[in-house]
Amino acid sequence: MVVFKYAFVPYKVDRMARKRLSRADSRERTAQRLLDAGERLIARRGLDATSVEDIAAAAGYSRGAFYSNFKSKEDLFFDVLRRNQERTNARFAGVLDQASPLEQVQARIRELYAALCSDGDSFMAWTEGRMLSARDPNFRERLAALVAQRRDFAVQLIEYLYRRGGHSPSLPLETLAMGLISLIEGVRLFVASCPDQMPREVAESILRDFVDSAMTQGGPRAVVQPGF
Amino acid sequence: MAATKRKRLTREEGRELTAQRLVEAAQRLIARRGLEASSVEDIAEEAGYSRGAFYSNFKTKNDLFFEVLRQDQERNNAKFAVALDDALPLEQIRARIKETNAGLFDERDSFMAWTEARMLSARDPKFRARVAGLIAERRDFVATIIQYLARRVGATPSFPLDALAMGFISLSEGVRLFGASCPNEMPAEVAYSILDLFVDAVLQQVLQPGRREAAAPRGSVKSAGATR
Repeated sequence: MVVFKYAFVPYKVDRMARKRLSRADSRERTAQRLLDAGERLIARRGLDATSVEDIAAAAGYSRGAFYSNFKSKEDLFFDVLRRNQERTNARFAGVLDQASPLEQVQARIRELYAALCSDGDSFMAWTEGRMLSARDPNFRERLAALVAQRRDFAVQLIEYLYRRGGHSPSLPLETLAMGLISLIEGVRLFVASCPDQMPREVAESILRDFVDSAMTQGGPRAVVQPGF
Repeated sequence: MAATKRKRLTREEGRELTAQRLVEAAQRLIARRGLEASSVEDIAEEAGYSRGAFYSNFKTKNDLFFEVLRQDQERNNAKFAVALDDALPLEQIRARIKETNAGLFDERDSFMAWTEARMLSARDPKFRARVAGLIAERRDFVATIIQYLARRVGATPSFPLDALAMGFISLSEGVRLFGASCPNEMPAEVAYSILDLFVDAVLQQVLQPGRREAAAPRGSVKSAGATR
């Protein structure tokens, strides 16, 4: 997926392709590898059980290389979360297109959403981020920006679906957005922790039904299919 | 005086008291620092005991953690159980359930412990197998509440009870995680009102008295007319 690869590299593509790795490019590559390793380890072991040394070793670098790229483990962790969110935004960009038929847009959203859900590491890291925020005011302040962006993005999506469906929201959009985000994260956490009790089909049917109920409260049912 | 009082405690009672204090200390510490960052020594010290006292009561930290969860669930279930009183009018029962639910939002330590448990379960199959029993019990308990409401309303739920119960649990945990991690974006009262709005919307769709035929079972989950 060429699109996101370059979304994080602030250099011109043609130069990058031709030139040998400049100092800045190689630094960027080190940072990306540390982010990849950090995400994997944090998702699998948890943030507290993952040390700077572990991350550096898993990425194939020294402790020194880590600290020349990130100030602290939390710093790297925040960049992991920000990078994931940028990727998600890039995937969704252009989906809310007025010209395409509604069903096509919905199908595309469903597809993207399913792809997101299959990325377990990213979800585990995000939940670690929420837990850290609940405990650490400094991190909370940083995460708040990402959460607000997520919420606003969900607002746009919901608003778009209502508009295309020719209906008005049953609840204030921000309330709906935060509720839907909570619902989705709660269901994913349930599935991750109890896959036997909540297999994927059950999770999907719950999401469908709950989203449907919240979005059509008091009105006709199933007029807006949000595609979750 | 205190000494004579203590003397009256049998060996068994003394042991029970130690275990109880360790459970309380663990819940506090785990909420504050996280499971991984709370060692057996930390917990023993917080409770005012030695490492030896810990191990004469619990085999491992996870053993104690499981006991924290078990007791927490027992307390929470007891709070809801008193609401389901046939002598009370339906409206009052609903109000009591809402009140109890809202009260849970103040129980931060309990919530943090459960989220830690979900994360640990996602990573550790052994712990997952242990916690699955508790979560199944909670699901069944919530299903009983829904079924009770359905009976009082005179409706047959149009969605499998187990899935509904898991959906409510997920929603509630997701909202609480959002609130705990982003208290500025979602202060406790907002968190609670979002939960309330969503639960009401779903119940309104799922429990429609006198419209049983209209609300045909949808969802891909096997219809469950009763709890186990």
